Amino acid sequence: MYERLMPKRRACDLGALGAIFFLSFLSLGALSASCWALSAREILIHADRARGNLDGVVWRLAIESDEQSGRDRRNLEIKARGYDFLAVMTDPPKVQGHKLLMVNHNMWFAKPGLSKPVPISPRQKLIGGASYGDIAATNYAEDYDVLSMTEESLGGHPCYVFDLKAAHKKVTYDRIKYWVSAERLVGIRAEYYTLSEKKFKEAEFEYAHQLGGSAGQAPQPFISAMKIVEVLAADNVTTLRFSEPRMETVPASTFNVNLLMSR
Amino acid sequence: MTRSFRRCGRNNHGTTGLRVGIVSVACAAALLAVPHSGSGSEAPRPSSDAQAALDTLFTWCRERTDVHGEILTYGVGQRARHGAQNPHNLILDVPRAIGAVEARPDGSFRWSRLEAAVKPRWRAQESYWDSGRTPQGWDGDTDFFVNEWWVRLEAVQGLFVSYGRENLQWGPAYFLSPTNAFFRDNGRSNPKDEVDGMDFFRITWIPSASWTVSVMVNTDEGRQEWMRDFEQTYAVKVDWTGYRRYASFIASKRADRRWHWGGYAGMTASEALLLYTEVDMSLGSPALYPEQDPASPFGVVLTDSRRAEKRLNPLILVGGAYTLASGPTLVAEYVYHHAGYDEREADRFFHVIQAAGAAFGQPSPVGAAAAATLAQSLDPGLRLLRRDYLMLQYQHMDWWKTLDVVLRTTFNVDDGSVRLNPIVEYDFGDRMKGFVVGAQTVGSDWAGLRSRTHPNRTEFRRIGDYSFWVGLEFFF
Repeated sequence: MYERLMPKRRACDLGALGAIFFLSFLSLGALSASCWALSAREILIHADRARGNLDGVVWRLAIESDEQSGRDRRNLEIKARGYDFLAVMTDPPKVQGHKLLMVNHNMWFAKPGLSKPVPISPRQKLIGGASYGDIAATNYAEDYDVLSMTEESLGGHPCYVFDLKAAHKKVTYDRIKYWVSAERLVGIRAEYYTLSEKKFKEAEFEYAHQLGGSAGQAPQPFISAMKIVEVLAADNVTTLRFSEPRMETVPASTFNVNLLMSR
Repeated sequence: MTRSFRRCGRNNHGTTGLRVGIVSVACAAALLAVPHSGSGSEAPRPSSDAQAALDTLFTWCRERTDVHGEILTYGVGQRARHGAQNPHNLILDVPRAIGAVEARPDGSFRWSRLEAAVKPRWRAQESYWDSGRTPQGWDGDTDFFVNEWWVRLEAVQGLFVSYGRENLQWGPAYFLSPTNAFFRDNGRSNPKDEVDGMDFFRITWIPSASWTVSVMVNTDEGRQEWMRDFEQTYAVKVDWTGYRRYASFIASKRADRRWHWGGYAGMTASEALLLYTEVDMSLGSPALYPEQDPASPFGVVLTDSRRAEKRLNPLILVGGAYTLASGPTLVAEYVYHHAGYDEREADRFFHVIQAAGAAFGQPSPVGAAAAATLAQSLDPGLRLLRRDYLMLQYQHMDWWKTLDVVLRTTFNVDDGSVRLNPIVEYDFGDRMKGFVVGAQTVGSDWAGLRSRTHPNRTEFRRIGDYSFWVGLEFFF
């Protein structure tokens, strides 16, 4: 990842002495160097891409919810482009054919037997602790203001820790504390807070998948698991497992609400 | 207005539906009957090349075909009012109870730019009458039909041409869809009672992710049963989707050359709040209005007296939905229906119903005039009878992981009548659900609520007291 930062470093080349000094600086702490080279917003853009913010990607999603009130599961097939996605539930049979469409941050829900798609808000629950908005790619770089960015180690991995505040009222969470791996530039942990500054939800992320990597481009890490724990009921755990991701062209008609009922 | 009651199930589209249904089910059966590789050991084995070709064909079909559906079994208990509108249940002839089994498979096929779907339906029901034209007792009925089917081709990228029988609905509202020129019922009051499909030819153009242009015409009434003559209607719909908001413009022209203009718009005001509106405008109204007529045996006739009027008739809906952090969603909608009856017209309307109801059964010509007037008054051609309505809804899905609850209340602000619609579903595992769907009207002395007018003279209570569906769904 640091290779991408080199052009910026060269731009600030102060000559050989400077280079030696700079390399010494790097050897003392790559974390500080990358922090210097990448702005907070650029780091968030990298982290957003690994959460699905890509030009055309298809994957399967398995959600398991284990709560005091019982266990539940959903399997979905998802087609996404940027922040738009179409999610079709495939299992269990009672939800087969249920669809969730998000276009330009407008969301609709449809299912067999329902005559037309129903507009829904991102807060509406999908299953367990997962809201419909949790399927969507994140856009923290634009939806949130960075109040602070610090560095700390999480599980032995150096991280940037962002204190994010909603830039507008239309986002799912008002405030987020977000840990981004300094090595991979992917979000690995998040804490979600209410308007009253009360923490109500925690999430951890894994990135075992890689996308792309052809035509001279570096492979792009892609989310493989998201574990959501409700703070007020720590036994309530919802796990989202992302599998079989592949990049492909997804036409605009996929996200057309007029065709949703007949998809 | 009569849809809240389950009909007997017979209709005059059964023959066509049966033909299409047989063809579609035969196709589906043939598709499913194609043997897997290694199966069918008792049949004469084709050559290995033929077997491989069959396997390839089967795999090709399976990859492009999706079949799922449900089997329902349910009982319906309902009670029609035997007032002036429906004397002794002789006009509507609504059964008192129904027991039914339905199979609702949905099949779809997708290959390259071609998509097709078919929704054949089979229903067997036993109905019990304790009043009306049908003799008291049970009567059985079996029906087989295709409720929806369509074929769609993406002629060029972003341009879709389709033909078929569809339930074409749009708009964000729960209560009704003012801009939908084709369907009065949006299917929301009873999600277990499928809206009958209508035949459409449609062209949909998607020039970008933000814009869609649709041109559509209904070519036949399909499974719909029109109380009046079928009206061919042309419509153009332009949709725009922006950041957290959307809007649509709809213009439609009916067979009587009457134009309707309107649209809907909505926005995600916050992560929990949705706001929306839907408006339809037309000049004049083809509906029937009660006008005084000394020549009529009832003193009032129902006539399309406003058909040629140049006055604008807006139908406006405004609504919002708010999702609480704990899960439930609260919905409120207000409707202003300018074409509806005002107090004076409502008085005349119920007066003519009372008079016709009293004369019903008398020898002709008065008896015949009474029957005709009562039939007319069942559907005077209005989306809603009066002018002001308020709908409130509480919705809690996935409650304790097993329960979906929707409680809907619709107030007729003008006459004080109320319709309650509870919709409760309970999951029995991954494949089975139990449900209760109801419609209870309130308007006079029920539960202490009191209408400003006599119950038989209110919109929601003039036809029925209640209708409750209780049943099980098995998904496959």
